[in-house]
Amino acid sequence: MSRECTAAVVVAALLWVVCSAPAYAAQPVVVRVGDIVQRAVELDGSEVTFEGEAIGEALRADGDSVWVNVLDEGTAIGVWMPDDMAEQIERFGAYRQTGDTVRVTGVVNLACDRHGGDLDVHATALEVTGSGEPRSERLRPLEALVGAIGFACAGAAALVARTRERKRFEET
Amino acid sequence: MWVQRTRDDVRAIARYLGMLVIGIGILMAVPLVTALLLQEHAPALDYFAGAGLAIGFGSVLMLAAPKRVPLNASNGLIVTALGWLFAALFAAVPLALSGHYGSYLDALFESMSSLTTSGLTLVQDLDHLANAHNMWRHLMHLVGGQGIVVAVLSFALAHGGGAVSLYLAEGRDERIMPNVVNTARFIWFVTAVYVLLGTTALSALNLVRGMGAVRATLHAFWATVATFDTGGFGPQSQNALYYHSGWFEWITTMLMLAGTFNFSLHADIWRGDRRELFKNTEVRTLALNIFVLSVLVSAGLAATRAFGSGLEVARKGIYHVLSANTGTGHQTLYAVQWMRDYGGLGFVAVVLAMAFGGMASSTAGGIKALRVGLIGKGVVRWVKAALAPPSAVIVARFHHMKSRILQPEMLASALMIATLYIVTYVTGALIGVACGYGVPESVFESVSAAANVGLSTGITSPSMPAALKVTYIVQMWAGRLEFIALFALVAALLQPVIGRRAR
Repeated sequence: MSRECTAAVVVAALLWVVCSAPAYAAQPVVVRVGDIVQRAVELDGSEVTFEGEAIGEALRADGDSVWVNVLDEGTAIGVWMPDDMAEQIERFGAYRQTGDTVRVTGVVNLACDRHGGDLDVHATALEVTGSGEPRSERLRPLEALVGAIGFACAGAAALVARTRERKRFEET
Repeated sequence: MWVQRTRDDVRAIARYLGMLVIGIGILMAVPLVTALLLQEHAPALDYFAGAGLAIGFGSVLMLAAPKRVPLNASNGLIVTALGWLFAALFAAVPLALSGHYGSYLDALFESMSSLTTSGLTLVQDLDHLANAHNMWRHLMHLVGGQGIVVAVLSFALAHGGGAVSLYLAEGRDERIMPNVVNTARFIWFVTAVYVLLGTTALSALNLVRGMGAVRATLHAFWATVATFDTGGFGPQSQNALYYHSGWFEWITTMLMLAGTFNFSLHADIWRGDRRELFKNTEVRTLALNIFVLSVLVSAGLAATRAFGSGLEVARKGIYHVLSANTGTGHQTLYAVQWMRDYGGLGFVAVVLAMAFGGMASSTAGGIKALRVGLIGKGVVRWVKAALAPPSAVIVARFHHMKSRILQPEMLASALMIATLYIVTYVTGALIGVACGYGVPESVFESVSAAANVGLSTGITSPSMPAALKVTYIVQMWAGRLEFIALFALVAALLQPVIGRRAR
């Protein structure tokens, strides 16, 4: 075989390897949490990546694993992960604070055999991409005024009722 | 003949309504104290304003008539129908102020859903809702589940008149104790026992799973109340799915069953008499109902081939049939999955379970197992009579606290209420379709609202049309009162017109 021929075969082999298995094919699909719920049948068993806010707390599961619920645009999903993966999360969303934003990569289960047939995600990787923050309260003094007026009305009504009762008692 | 309502009647109605509204205002002290203890200052102001409005308005309304004014049965029906509406109107105020509802109508939807123990929700960003607001949403389940009027009877009307009229008007006809006030108190006693047991068990579970002590106890109390009172709200947007726990499902299954039991049966069990449990027609009907529908749902879920084992199918199937049959509405599936992933037989069986409902004189909604049982026995008697010689006398017997013969008027009453429920289910579904939703999901949602269940296919959301929100509010209200009180109210409102024509 000539040198040109050998070079052609090597180039062809390289092209076959590169083109038949493009780098992006192994990447998990990037989705929203809402998509996972809407397209659960289609995504069942595939690896996806999504971002959302960790809410509530890490709930102890079986063995050395926990459940972290991740909220994205009003839809939350349970993510099952090892203990040490969840330890990266410092804040969980609640009334007083927003939770850390986490980027989760994991396998979607339409009806998880390990977890009673629930729709869930088993995490393979987790990255904290944003820190949670305290949420501020907005106090409205007008509400205090409305309440005070209501209680004042109740007091006045009680006085009127008492006077009427006394009058009725005196008449009888 | 239409009853002419005098000015004194109207005053008496106003006084009792005022009492109920004050009751709602006083009840707001619980979320107010919760807010103060947990340093949630903005919600504390919401409840201060809400309580002030309710107590102020109720006090003024009570001036309409003197103390101990009598209340006849007809006026009792009006007070009950209006009482539930007024309670929802005032209970919605702090929710509307919370900023988690798109409008006051959404907050009213939430309070009606909560009081009637339906469980459909329009709350936004539930996962960041204050503990005080969650306390209020679940406390309304508790009060509504026992009956707002029962609550007032227990505490406010102990020595006053009108107790019997109000008790009967709220759709309760059981006399467990010699008088209705003691009966109302027994209902609260039973509830307290189950709430204590449920809260203790779920608190322990939450603590073991890593929740903080306060949060574990609050979540446990809310889940217990929402389950025993067959309400179905949850403090997280995923509802029961948030917990990812078989133990949670098992404990709430027990609470759902306890919640759907007739309070007379609870009394028998409490007295140590368990025979009634096995003889009672209503218990047998409900057991048969749950068994057949669980098999159907499980078969429907299995047919999708999504589940890996029969155990998973049974767990999902039984939990959702119980949730639907008892009117609780907890779900461990996402709302859209009912339509998208698990439609077909399972979907139909859940709709039937919601439509049939739990037991009479319990916290459950729907047609009720006793009526379904009586209609079934009526059909059997009818077939037997058709096959028997003309001279034969065919009677149907049933057991409900004692052995009875099925009388034609009992059957007529059961058929009438069942028909009214079906008409309400169909009407709501038609309005849903008119609003642009598909037929299956419109039927599902309508049945869920009218039977006070709370399962959803996703139609119920802040973005649904206002007309549909109002429709579901009316359905929840009518379903909880089993129609009679609501019809009495409509008749009373139309009475000036009808009465004039009749003359």
